[in-house]
Amino acid sequence: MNNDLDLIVIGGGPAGYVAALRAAQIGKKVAVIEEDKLGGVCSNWGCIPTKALLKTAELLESCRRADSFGLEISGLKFDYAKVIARSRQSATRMSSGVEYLFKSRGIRWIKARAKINKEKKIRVFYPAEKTEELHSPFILICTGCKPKTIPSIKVDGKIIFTSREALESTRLPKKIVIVGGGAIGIEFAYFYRCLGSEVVVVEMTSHILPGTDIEISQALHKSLTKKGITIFNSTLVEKCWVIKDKLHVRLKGAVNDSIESDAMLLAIGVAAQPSEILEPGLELKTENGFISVDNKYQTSIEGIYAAGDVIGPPLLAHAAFREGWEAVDCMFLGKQSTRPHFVPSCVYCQPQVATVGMTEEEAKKENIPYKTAKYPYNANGKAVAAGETEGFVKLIVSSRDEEILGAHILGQDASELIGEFVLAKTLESTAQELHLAIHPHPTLSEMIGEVALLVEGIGLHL
Amino acid sequence: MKQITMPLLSPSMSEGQIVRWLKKEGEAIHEGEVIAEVETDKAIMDLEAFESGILKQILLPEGGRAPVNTPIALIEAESEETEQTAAAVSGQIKEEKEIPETQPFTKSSAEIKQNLGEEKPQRIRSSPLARKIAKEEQIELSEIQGTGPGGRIVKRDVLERLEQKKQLSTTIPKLTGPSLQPLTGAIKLPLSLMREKIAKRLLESKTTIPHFYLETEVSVTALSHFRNELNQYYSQQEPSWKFTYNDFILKATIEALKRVPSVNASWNGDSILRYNSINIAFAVAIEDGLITPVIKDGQNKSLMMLSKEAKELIQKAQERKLTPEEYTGGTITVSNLGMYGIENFYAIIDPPQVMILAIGAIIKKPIVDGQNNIVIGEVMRVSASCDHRVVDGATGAKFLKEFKQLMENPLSMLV
Repeated sequence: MNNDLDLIVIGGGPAGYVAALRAAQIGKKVAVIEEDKLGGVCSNWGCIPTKALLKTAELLESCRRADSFGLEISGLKFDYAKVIARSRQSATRMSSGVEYLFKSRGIRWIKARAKINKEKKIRVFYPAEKTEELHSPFILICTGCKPKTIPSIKVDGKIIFTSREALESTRLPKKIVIVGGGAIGIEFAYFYRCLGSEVVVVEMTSHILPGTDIEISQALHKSLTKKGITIFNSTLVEKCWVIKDKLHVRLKGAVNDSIESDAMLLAIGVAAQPSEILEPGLELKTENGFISVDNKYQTSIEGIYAAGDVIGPPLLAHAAFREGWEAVDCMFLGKQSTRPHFVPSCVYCQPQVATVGMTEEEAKKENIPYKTAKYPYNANGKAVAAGETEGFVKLIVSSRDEEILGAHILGQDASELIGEFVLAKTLESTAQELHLAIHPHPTLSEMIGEVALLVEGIGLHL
Repeated sequence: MKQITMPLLSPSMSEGQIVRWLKKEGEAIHEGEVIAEVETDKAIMDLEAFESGILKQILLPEGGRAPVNTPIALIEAESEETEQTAAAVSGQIKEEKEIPETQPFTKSSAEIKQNLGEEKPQRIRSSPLARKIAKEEQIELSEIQGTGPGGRIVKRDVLERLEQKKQLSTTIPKLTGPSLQPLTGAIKLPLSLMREKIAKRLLESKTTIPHFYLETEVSVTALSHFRNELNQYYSQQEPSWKFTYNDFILKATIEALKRVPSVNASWNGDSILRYNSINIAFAVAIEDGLITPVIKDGQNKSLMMLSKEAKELIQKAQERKLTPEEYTGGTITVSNLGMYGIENFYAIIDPPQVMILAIGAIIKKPIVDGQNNIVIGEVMRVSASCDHRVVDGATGAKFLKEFKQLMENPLSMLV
């Protein structure tokens, strides 16, 4: 039955499952090999379950300032096990959604591990030592990434864990050291802090959310500090050891100190492990540990393609969705990749961070003449009414032709607002179209029109 | 069965080369799918299928070159139903393509509207950023081929056009130096695509082709009588017809080429290409330039056929409705300024052709006839500009002699 397959996808995450759905849509016979649940890290161990946790944190934070809205809430408590359970439920629901889509499109899900050999055949390892050999004209590798670890620090899942263990653990640490001030580290820092943990973030570079517009990063740093999170920038974990269930962490860099903690979360990024699915004798060209692909997503070996996190940054589900789709169109419809894409990125702590395009630092570095403007949430009617006045919308445009170079938002619902900038940029709108479009009043989206007026030097409401 | 033709992928493209077929014969293709990579004069571009079906036959193999609009493959629609939609789609696309194809030199959207007459005005789809840059750089959107979604003009298209223009201005020398400052009080007129092309092509011709010129006087007394008689006869016919002097000039050129075929050729760098077909181009003046429609396979056409085809092409040229196929592929050109009273002139060869004939006005003047009497004769001066790499003096002279004899003995050109 396997000989009539047009495509075998290895990995059922965002790139893999979208590729499978797209291939089925254009009438191809496709199988997906995924040993874990469908939906990948995104549905099961990333985007979705963390958003569930963050919603709890956000609600809790709102309830704590209920009196500012004229509400009285007493006896506010939480059940951490239930919080974790709800997060797992949301993951399961998304994963079964993908499973349902597969069934309804006739996509075969092979729940097993896979290895490709040098004849480009796929050996499938089912549980209980059963194996099978499959082949198809096209193979798509979408095996994603796994959290990075530090060789000298052993992840035990109890005291020292990665995001994966943190999402299942029903024990809320009293104090936690979070190594890494990127999106994952910051989201967990916010979550644990809202639920009452003492949180220390240790970031190796000079700013949290490295690569983000520095003005945004600094404003968030200030905001998180105000919530009681300790952030050490330019600092490394030199050593850590456990004595009687207590973790001792020695820091080096801007802060040279030893701190005690109950737990440590490693959020130092993710890495691809492409060799895990290759049998000896088969090698694919890689770059910085990611599989190299050409403008058709084909690897160094004909017929073997790759998409998603395994081919490198941006390591984001929404980039992977597009790559999976395009890879299939390259295989069967003769299309070409449109990479690099214009990919937004969001961090879901409160205030949220959402950015797309160039940072001010990048515009400077590339010597592009630019103009920039900022519009603060506290000047927006809806933000004032909702009591969410923290943050700002920042726009960077080329001073040559007002091309939108980048947009950066810090504040409530930033992740929902950024979409308008992404669309504007995709349509090659300029600052002018952003303010010519009438935004509904009162909404946070008015800030987009306002910041565009400001950047053109004709702002009214500031 | 439907034909896939070499597409016009850029305004200046006249032919394309197949770099690679991405589909094999017998494979299914879908509308919008890239089926081949085509190299134009500028870049390698994707050739997308306009309709779905089965690729039946590849007519132009990889590495092969073909002029725009010539068939390069055959496809068979999937079913009758798809055939219908395919026809609708291709009709739609044809309509959309009509601007670049038949209005290749159109300058502004206002002109497009005018020329399309009854048809709906075409909106040029473009992004705000593209419009902004185009406006600042003073580029007309109508000169730009869009490559964004649905053929939308996006930033990169404008930048590419800008680059093209820059390159052009470096190949066409501007007035420079203290003695060549532009005079004061000038109005700056932007170049139309047509003007640009004329400038580039003829500068290249005049500076790279070793031109030499031959000139002769043709007595058209006999032709004039013959033409009058013929027109007299055809005025009684249903439908009536009137032959112009130009029809006879075209016919005589074709017949002379049959007798001296080495002129029907091109310089090809390391070789000379000799053509079997005589494709005769003739210059038609139109607003802001000229265009040379081509009568293909002239060697097989009667005087009547030539006359009818020329009339039709002239009309289309004046309405700017020529398709690229109708103004490309000429193997010789005839330029006639007789109607302006010009007695003689020397034209510039239109490469890759190797000869252009310049026809002067028919004038009455005293001539010495066969009996050494001075009589009133009707004469016309004809010059031939020749590419010496292909045509030597004697060959050119032989051609011109044949042409003169045919014109002076008009019945012989009809035999």
